[in-house]
Amino acid sequence: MKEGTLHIKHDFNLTPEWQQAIVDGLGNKLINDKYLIHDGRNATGFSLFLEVMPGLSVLIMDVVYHIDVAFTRVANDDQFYLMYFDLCDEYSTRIVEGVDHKIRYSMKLGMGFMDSSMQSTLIPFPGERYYSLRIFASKQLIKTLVGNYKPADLIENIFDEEKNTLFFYTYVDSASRLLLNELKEKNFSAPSYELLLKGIALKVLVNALKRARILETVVHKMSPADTAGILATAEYMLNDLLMDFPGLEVLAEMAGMSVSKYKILFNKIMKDSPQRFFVKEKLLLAQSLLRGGMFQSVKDVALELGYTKPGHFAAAYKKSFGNLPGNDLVKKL
Amino acid sequence: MAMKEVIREYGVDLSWTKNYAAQLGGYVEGPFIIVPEEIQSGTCYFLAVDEFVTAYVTDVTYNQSIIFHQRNNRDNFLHLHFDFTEGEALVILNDVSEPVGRWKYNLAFMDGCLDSDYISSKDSKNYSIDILISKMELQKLLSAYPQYHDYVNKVFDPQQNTIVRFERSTNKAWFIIEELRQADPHNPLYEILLRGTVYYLLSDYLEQTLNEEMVIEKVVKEDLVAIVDSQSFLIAALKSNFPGIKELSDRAHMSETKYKALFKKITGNTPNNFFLQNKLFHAREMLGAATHTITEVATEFNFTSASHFTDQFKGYYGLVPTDYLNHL
Repeated sequence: MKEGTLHIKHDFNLTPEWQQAIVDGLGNKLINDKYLIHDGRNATGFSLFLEVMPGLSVLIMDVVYHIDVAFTRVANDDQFYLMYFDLCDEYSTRIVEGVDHKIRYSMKLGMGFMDSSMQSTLIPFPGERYYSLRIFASKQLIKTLVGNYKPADLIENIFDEEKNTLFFYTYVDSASRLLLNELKEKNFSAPSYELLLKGIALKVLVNALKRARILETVVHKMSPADTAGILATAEYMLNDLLMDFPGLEVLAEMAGMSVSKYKILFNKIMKDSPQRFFVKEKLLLAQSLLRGGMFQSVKDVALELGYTKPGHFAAAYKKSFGNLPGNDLVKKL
Repeated sequence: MAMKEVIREYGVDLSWTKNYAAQLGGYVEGPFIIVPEEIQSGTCYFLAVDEFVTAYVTDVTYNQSIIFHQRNNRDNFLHLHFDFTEGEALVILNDVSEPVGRWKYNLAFMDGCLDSDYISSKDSKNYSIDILISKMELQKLLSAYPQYHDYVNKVFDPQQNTIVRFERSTNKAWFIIEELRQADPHNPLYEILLRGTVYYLLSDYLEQTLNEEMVIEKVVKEDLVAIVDSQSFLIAALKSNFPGIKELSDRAHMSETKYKALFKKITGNTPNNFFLQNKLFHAREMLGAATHTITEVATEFNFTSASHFTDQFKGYYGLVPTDYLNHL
């Protein structure tokens, strides 16, 4: 955490009282126990918290922070899950000048799912619009809703905290992105807004739970060290998509575990094998580079991404997106 | 043969369901009203969305003609009726009958205190959603907004609380209902989806009404029929080129200027936009099935090229088809 960062500790809850810690920390106004309006000093924008139905609440945030701030959500024992849907420009590329003047790229995954008993910290970038929908759902509700999809004993194991940890990152599904795009366009002070937010939260929840891979079949209890290790390797890869795949041995060592355990846990959290995860992100980067009008030819993009044979690149790209990279290329003027 | 007659009483609380089921010779089982095959095939599903809102979804084919006499004993609610019936259905109010269904008026908003009759013809396929909303709650919601006091006074004035509006639903409402229609009511997620759909529809309706973008009360009935017919023609032609205003206005027996103005007034959209949005919605569904490439979808819906399709898709949905396809 950067020096001088305002560090706010809070928890989340299905009921509204948790917002007080944010109000105390940022010094803004809370209206009717649900609207948090930022006054422009530390942040601009708003958040709105609503109880949607028993066991389900939603928080929408549309904020630009003007200061360095970190939010640590402390663990709590209430039995619920948190789902994050961040609508940052997932595919737009953040280009950061690295220490060795090498261009680095990093991307963000839009959806997170975690247990309220895990602690996590969010450090938003000052000056960037932070738009995020969060769903808080009681464990009982989620269990009932997915009950039909899997055998009963597997369901018991998935939701048994002694045997399994539910925690993962993935992309936001397309149908939900369209809904969030729609919500983003609306005026939050209109009388129809709260109804829309409830409607969209419920529909996004349905989309999430319908996704086949979202609740895994690999049942495994994870320690906080395991989780941190896996996330560190994912971040390592995302921060430098230009390199070659580092190899499972290197990554497993970085995460502090055996290769076989690493493979299992990476799959559980990131919903993909490490190699496929890396290649997928690399190709998504390729797509935005091709469209970005920064390169003269497909070959240049391939070389930039570390493919020595443009033919390999084209084949991988076609397999992933259904068309050749040449179709997506916007030439540098 | 005499038409079967049923008296139906709605209310925000669900006490009406049992008696209603009994009148159809059926019974209530969980959220379903089970009715014998000789009367209808399909499902009827009800849900208390929250303390102030109730929803009732009908998805049935009538095996005999029925007249429903809507006789509510309470006047503490408003009734929003979305109707996508294919085949003949009529609403009779104050001795005036209005045709309802997918290609007629498909949205009615009325005060719970009004009596009305609903006639469903044999073999008609009825898909409708009834949303019942507490007047007090809606009044409370709007009272915080001084700019809508006129509207509130009009809707809630006890002297003239006889609000009835026959309208056409927005494109967006139709799309969102279409998604609900494809879901299985026996799946536990259906209840969540229906709640979400109802809130979405209420929000969309409130937004439209408060902005008064679509007021069709003052439209001549023949004109309405002509425009709705035109919409139906456009939907049937989704896989071809836009027919052009000239052809459309000729079919509707109107001048181009009148046609364009009426279309906008009734649908809240230009003919071109209506056509495009429906093309894109169906193209999106086809992408969602993950069985076709973007080029194939673009060709199927007669976009001039895949990149033209991409631009239009991006413009309407805010992301390009490849991203959509990659993150289903």
